[in-house]
Amino acid sequence: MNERPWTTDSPSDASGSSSRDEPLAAGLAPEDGLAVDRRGFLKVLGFGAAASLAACERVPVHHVLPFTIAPEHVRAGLPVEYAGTCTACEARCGLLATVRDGRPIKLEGHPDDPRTRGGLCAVGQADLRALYDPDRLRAPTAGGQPTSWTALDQTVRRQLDELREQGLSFLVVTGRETSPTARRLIESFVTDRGQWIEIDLQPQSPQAPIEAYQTLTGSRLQPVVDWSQVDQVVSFSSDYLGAGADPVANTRGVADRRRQAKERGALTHVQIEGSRSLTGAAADRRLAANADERRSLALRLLGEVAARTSESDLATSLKAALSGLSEDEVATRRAQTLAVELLAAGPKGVVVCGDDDPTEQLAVAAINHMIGAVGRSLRLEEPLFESRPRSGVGALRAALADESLGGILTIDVDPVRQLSDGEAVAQRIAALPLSVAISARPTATTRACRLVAAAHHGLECWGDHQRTADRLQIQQPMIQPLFESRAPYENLLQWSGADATDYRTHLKESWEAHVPRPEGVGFDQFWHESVAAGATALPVSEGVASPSFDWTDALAAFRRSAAAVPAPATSVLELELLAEVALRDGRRAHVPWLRELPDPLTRVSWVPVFRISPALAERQGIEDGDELEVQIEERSIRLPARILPGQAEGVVGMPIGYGGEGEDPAWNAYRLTTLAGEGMKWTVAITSLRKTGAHEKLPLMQVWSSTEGRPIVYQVSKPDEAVHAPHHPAASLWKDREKKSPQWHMSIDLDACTGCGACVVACQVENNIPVVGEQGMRDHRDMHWLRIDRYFMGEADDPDVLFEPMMCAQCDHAPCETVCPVTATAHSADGLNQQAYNRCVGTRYCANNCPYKVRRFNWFDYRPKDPVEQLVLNPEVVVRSRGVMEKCTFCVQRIQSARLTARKSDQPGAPKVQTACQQSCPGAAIRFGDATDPEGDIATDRHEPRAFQVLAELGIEPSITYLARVRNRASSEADSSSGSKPHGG
Amino acid sequence: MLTTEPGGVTTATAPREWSPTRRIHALIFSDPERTVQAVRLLKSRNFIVVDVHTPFPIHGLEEELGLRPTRLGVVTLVAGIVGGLIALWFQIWVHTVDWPIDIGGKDDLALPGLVPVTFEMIVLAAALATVFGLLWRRGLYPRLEGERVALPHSRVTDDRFAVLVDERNARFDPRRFVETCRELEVEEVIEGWKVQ
Amino acid sequence: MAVTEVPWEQRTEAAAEEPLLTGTPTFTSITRDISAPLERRASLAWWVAFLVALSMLGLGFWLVVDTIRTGIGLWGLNRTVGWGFAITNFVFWVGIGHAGTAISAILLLLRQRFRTSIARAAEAMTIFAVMCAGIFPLIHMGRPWLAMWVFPYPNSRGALWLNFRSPLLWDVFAIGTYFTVSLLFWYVGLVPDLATVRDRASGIRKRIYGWLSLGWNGSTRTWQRYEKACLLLAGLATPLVVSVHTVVSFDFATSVIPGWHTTIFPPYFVVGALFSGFAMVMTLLIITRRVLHLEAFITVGHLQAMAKIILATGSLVGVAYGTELFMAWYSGNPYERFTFFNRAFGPYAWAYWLMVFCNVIVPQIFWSARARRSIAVLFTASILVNVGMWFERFNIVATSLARDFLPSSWSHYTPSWVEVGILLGSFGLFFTCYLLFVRFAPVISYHEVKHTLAEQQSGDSEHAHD
Repeated sequence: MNERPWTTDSPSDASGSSSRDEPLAAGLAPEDGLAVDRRGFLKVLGFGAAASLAACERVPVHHVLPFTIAPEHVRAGLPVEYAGTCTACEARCGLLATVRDGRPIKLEGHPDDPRTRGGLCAVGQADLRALYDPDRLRAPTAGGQPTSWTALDQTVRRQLDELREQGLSFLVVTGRETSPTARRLIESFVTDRGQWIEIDLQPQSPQAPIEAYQTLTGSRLQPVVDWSQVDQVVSFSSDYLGAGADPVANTRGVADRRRQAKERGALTHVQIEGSRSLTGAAADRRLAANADERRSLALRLLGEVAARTSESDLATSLKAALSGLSEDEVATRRAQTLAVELLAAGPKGVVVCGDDDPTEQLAVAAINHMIGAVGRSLRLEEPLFESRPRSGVGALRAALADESLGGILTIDVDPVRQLSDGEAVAQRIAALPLSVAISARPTATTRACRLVAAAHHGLECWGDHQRTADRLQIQQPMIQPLFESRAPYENLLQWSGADATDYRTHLKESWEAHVPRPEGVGFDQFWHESVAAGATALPVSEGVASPSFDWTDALAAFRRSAAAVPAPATSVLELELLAEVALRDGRRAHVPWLRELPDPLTRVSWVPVFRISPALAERQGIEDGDELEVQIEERSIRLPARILPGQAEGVVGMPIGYGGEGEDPAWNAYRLTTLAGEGMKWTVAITSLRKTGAHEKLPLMQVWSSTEGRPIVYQVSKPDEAVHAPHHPAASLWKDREKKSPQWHMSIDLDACTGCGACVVACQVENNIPVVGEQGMRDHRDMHWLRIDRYFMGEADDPDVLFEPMMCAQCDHAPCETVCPVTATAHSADGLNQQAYNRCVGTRYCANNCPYKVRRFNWFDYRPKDPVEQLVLNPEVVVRSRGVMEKCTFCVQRIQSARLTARKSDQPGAPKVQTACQQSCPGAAIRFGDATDPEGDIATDRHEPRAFQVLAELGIEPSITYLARVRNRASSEADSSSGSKPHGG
Repeated sequence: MLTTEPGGVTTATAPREWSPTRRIHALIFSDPERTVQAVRLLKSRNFIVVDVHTPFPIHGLEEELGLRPTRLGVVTLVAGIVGGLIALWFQIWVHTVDWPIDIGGKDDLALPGLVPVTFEMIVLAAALATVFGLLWRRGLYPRLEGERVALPHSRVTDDRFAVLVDERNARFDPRRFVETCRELEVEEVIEGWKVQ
Repeated sequence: MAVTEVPWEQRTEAAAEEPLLTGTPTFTSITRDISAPLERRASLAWWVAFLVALSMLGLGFWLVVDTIRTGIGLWGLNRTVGWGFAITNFVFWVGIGHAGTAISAILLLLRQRFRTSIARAAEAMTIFAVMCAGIFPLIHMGRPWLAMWVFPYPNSRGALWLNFRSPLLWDVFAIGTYFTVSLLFWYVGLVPDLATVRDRASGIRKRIYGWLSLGWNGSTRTWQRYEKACLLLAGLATPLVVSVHTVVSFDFATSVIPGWHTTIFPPYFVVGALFSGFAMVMTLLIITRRVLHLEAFITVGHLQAMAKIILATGSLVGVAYGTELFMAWYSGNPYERFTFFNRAFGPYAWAYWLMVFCNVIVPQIFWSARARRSIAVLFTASILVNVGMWFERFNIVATSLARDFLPSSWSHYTPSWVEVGILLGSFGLFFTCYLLFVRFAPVISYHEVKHTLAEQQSGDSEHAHD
């Protein structure tokens, strides 16, 4: 689209009344089939006697109104894009929602967000389905019974007053709150009433490094990596590309840096971790190590770095402090290699750490200090929102234990599920005189609380969010609320007796008062522009003055820790609780798209598994799917095993995202966590592990992990190294067909692909791809048009991981086309392998004859039946019926729409099209375009030495080109391209 | 027209219309070789043997009877050629004229792929033509109730052989006929089995 | 007439040709003996067999209805293995049909007189087997209610024709033609015999057989054209029998999947089809001659002749397996090599070795004349051969798909009980039809047997004159 109206607030209306700049919040309910917002509606009101319609009521309106005067920018049947902020996690990526006829149908990353530049992760993509979740709370409840908002408000206000009279305190619990306005609101709400505690209940918490810098500098500082400056990164368990704190931005940063390898040299990445993470899969080198080994390696590395830096007081004292480390030849050699490399990179090296161990964090901070990374590849920033005196899980426990606690309010958090003693917490909450939960969905906490305020989904409410100091993002509603829910913080306005109880009004007032705006710009204009752009720039305060370090405490910690390092090869088993890419901490575990998204590494969907190392499996005779019982003191958990090469031998991995509402509570890994200071400890010692004898067939997307030596995926050891793919057949039996522009092709850079799965979900959302469920996945009946194959290569114990996104290659000589008896699939003039769903009779011959196995068959009627669920469907794409074959067509609906736009505006040449997968890719690994354009992306990529096509030797002429993964390794022994020899095709 | 009563084993029913010049007599035998000999003898004596009904085909009889070779083979050949040409033409028309689309990058006119259907249509057309040619030429069709089948003898589909002699012949000598029948040891003679 | 079977010990091995009719039959006795099963009340054995077959058919029917109502998801197929039992059964049944045509057409052209007694039953078997076969491609469709779309009929949507290059469409024409021609051939062959039944019957049976026998009266003029027509049909059916399984093999041979994409498939499939078909004829005839007391017509000589064919085709099939393995190795193509290695040593190895045992090893017993003449050995071997041939198709269809190009997609196919039930149902359909056939139509051609008898007699008399 040429013009992107990202808000219905047009500047020309800037002087209008406040009710005019509410984009969609007050439109008619979507089930009325009319896309009218309030403004449009008001215009229509003047048209006739329909004025009696209650515009703001959400009862179904049965009158049909002429759409004579359409709301601005809205035309029935045409999508409009609105800017916003993704609220699926605390990364708060910029969002661009495609809204059609009053309902958002696709979420994409905002290309103007400087951190993500258009990328959006799988969870963000899938957040749309959380909006149209039929199981959402549809009205407030009291004691489990639906109630009215008036009644609820009265009860809460009265009880809050009673608490104050009785001198009992009130506790507000939230997750990490990123909205300045909400923070101010909560602060003022808890004033005189009690306290507010923020809890962060995920591994890889950004709090741990902040604590380390607190120890070192006395001030809370947050290390932020500037990927453009990095040549060498050593990561201790930090999953910055996967389920860590800000994966989209990191992936983009790393990918952009790796793309410059030819000019600037490679970005080399070493990962040290216990369970294989996406970041570990992307690493050029990887060391498997359990928690103790990681800490000791960090200390040894620090020691080696200190030993190699010029003599200074600090280096001397560090060496002294670390002299207590036990002898361990292997670990020392590892540390030496890393130290040499890091020191060679100097300030362009950086060490990151995702572990919860304070000493390890201190060691990492010290290494970064020693190599001079701070200020170059690493910035120390003052974290936003560090004003609260007490926070964290420890504070929450203390507050709950406090006798004087009289009431609790949880906002969008689920402490009952996410604390190890959740049952006790639930009892405590239930015993309080006042317990309120604000939540969009039923959770263990809403069950424990007497009063439940049904909350809007993030796409239904206003808000603002801040992740970096220089940018304040807007969250605006994309749809009329579906249910009798309320914006979460509107409740606080109601209960605190504020004048303006409308959260939008409050937000505007807050902005007017607090957000600095450019000179000479009126607030209305400023507001409009900010809403339209989805964000506003904030004046950047000068960077943190270089802090003064005090090493006393750190040295003491190092000394203590060095002495406590256990001897190597102690066979301890530890359980590592980890966040998976799709489910993370389980907040969106109810979204079927995420459940069905196979974990990139285990390739298991729907159910949690224990990840175990091949060595452990061999020792105990465990096979995939064998049920294991892991005993942790008196708690025990039973899950099926999944053998994952690369898992540290003594480390058993367990995902934390499971066991929420409606699921087996035994899956809830939070029950096994322990406290570590204000945070949580994510590794626990296993008391015993045994096979129960039960076995199940896992819902595996991919059973086979090896390439079997086939020439189907490659990695090279230098960015300009060529791939030796099998030669293509030179001759064809048929004359080549004339290839007119455009011929759509795709190229996928495996070096930028982390396997995160954002494209898979984006494709699923865009193309109405059904969910087949757990049994369907067990039966290998996944419907994903785009899947990410994962292959292991190299050593059996810790192999390289290669990801290869696989979708229809739109072969020019497609084997699927010739075999269809009814010509349901044929080739288009622009090179697409088309599928006419309504012609398909379902012989499945095409799928059999597809060498890539990318065609998908509707085994059952998978169409959504629930009317709320149906709202998610993209009207541009046919919903396939039972018994037909379906497949990727390079988002043909987007191509068609772009063609129409181009034709209307007489643009010459091939239209610019972004496929859904391409758009979402955080690493920008996917490029799409016209292959006949000699200057285009595709032609460029196809001439790369790393370029190869999968199975092109069959003569099928696929339209997807892959660029091999680069593993930066000293020697070319890393070139383990599977089938090194070309073979006849 | 049909005069034979089924089940009448030994005696022929009297023809309703006695017309000495328009009768066909059936000579019943129970041995195929005898039957052939009978035909040979009858023909040598200038009797006109119009047909022989047998429970199974007796090779050589058609020569004795002087039947022309059947032209069914020609029908088969022509039908096969026509069927094949139509099938081939239709496929080519579909793929090049009426609906030329890119299927697997192949030429619109990709002849090898059209061979199987063409072949099958040759066989189908030829077989249908052969069978329906046979049925039409010999008047074979499902007999409805009441329609009787022209059987000279009820066991002619079992173990009897019926030689039909036409007396519509100026030289037909009833006396000589009776003599010949006696000479042939005819098991049974159905006089005037058929009257035309 | 006392029909007795001469024990094989009393016969001279040297006899080049077994008598094709034993005892002292006459035209009258032939009619009587062959008509007997049609004219007496059905035996208890027949009823038991019929009810068993009918219940299997009912089960199959119900499961097919369930599949059409609920979806192909009821089967064990998955995104990698799109064809399983259904297509295996399809190829199996088409193959079974081949022996019927081979016996009736090819042996007719080759003037093999031993065919007479067994041709009718074999042809009937062909018809029923092709019916069973035809059901599977239909019900395996995701939307079988749109099955008519595979026929090229004009429609209101403008140019919307078929893809005449699709092997599946070739199947439609090949199977359609095969069924039609087989049916015509069979029915044309039945007409004189139906007339025989008609002339022995009375009442409603007479009316029905009268209708069916098309006014047949045994005229020499009719016989003349009839024999010509049969010869022509045999001539047409002969290339057809070769082409049908060739076309079926194209389903696989023209694809790109390793294990399917093989030039040896057409002859391999045709030979395999004859092999399994003769085995099925053997099974059926051993039961039929016993139950219907037709030992005089279907003699051990017939069975022995078929055993020799089974030995020959079985050995050919064995050669084909070997060739296939050799070509996979010799091609140097890693995908091909893997596929065949996987067939023999992968998760479906048991099916592969079962196939090799049943199809290659078992028939070798027929080198022994003693085995060729033992009803028990013949019966067991014929059943084993069919088991083996079913697994041959299963190996081709399922194991190739389960392990194709990209290991990421590899999976395993296990049939659901619905598929097993539908396979049983197809056997139910087959045997229901066959049992009805032996009750209501002459299992052996009267006129051909009588013809053979006449030839034997004339031969004897000529012999006597010499």
